[in-house]
Amino acid sequence: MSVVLEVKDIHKSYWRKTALSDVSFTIERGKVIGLLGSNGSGKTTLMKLIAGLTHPTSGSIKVGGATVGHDTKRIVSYMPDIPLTEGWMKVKDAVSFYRDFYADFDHAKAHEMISFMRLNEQDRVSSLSKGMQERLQLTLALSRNASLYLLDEPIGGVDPVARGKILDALVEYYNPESSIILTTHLLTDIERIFDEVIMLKQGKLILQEDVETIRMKRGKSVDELFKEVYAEC
Amino acid sequence: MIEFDNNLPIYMQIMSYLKKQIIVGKLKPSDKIPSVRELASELQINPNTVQRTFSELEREGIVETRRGLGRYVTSEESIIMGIKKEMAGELIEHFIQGMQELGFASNEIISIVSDAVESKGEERGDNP
Amino acid sequence: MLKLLKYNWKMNSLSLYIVLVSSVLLYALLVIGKYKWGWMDELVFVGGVVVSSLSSLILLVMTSLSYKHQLSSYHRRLLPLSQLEEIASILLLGVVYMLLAATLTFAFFAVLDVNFNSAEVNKAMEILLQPKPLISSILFALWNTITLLALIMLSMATTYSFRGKYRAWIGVIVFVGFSLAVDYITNLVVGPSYDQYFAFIKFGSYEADISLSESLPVDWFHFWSVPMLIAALALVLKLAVTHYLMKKRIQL
Repeated sequence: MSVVLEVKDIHKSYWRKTALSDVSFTIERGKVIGLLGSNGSGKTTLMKLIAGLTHPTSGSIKVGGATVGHDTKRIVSYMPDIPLTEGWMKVKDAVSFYRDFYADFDHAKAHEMISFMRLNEQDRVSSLSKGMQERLQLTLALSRNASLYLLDEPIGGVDPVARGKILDALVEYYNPESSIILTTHLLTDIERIFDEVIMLKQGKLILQEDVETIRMKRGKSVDELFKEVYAEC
Repeated sequence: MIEFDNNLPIYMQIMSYLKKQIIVGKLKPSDKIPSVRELASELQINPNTVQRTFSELEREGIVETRRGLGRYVTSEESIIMGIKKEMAGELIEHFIQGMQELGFASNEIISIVSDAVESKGEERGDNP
Repeated sequence: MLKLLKYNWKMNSLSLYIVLVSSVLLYALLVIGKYKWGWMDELVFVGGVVVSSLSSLILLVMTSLSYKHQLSSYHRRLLPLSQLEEIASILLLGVVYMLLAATLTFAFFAVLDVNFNSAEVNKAMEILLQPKPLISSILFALWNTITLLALIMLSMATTYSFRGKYRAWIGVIVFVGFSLAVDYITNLVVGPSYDQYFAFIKFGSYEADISLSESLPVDWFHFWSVPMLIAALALVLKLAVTHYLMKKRIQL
């Protein structure tokens, strides 16, 4: 099926705070989507919902036609802004972990990416610099042949060299059967990789548009549009 | 390689770039052009955008797909001349408009252009 | 499930190593104490019991912490595993740890030849080291490990179903409350004179003075008593509720 993600009428509230309200959208296969919003707009919550770490208060989310749960975890690869490894692990342990639990893990791809990212299998994960840890996170997430990749701030706290490598990796490993949703604050470099952007503001979806259309119709870059939309935030 | 302006559609910018390469001769008739993946990788842009560019170029006849072999610049000289004229036309259009806004009359524009081309040509070593 | 076990095992491997090695050293010390330095038998015996209990306790804590890790780490919660697998994996971890500790304990008491002042106790000790009673003891320990772990998991799952500063207390209440409830119900059904261990094995008579002679019949595998049935039902309930909480209520 060509729709890989279907989000319908999602409401999410914690105690007294509403994180998301009335969010609905669909995403087709083979697209790179930028999920944009200021802090507290609900981006991370949305990703956690799609990844299955949290449950919606109401509404439904389907990945590849299946409701989020055990089955979708097999086909969704989530890279949060928190490390996905355990302190005792070396890089090769982290890779083994992924290989053991995820049937879609591509060991050859992992090896390729590890050398591409200049990582060393024998290094202890805890001894890696922040930039190297980010590269490892991304390697693990992208080494899976998932239907949907959720990348939370993949180029966030990372030096420009690593950033370039990560953008390279995203383009290099693009696959028309899978889609990528990523969040970022640094739009200038990365907006060229987006097909569409979705903008969230205070928990509501305010825009979902094709990026070239934004440029053509509004004569603006996504970066500029972002600044306009979130000016008061 | 290319300095992209994020305020304008990227696929159009790639198209302009490729057309220029063709006119100038960097990409000759019947030359093979990079694949979608290669170009996307090189320029760090979305493969779908590159695909769109190629589709447009194909539509305009500038590029043709040869089954199983890839994409090639057209061998039709007339089409290439056509592009050259089209791009020149755009430049001229902008120029004349700009000059008219400055208040120059048509004959003034022609003589200014004539002088300018001559001295530019001397700079380049065109005319003895 | 086994893959999860493998990674929990690796995560705890250093701690396990320390616990097992320390136990062996302490047991060795006690044995040497008795045979070389003439320590009192009773002292050595109690020492052994202390080491055994402590190591079991630490291993239980390690297992519980592994479960906590399973409930609260992003990468564990992202794994495409069923809750049944997760629960079974922790129980298996606890059981394996328990068997390791039990083996060391058994080895220690087998090597040690303790003599108490009371002839009955000596006889009891002798009998307990024979095959059938031994297997019974191990099964008993197994049963206790599983039921205790299940209760711990239930408490932790309850804790993680809530948010906020005081959620740990909810877990404690569940832990204490559930145990009391099971005790209460069992007392109600069976009567006030029941004892856990004697629900497990059945002596020919419940005499206060345990005179164990060869002719006293002991059923070492008396599992079908009412208290055991209640405990089994309690176990199923614990696991079912834990399963439900993990599936529907726990969020990060």
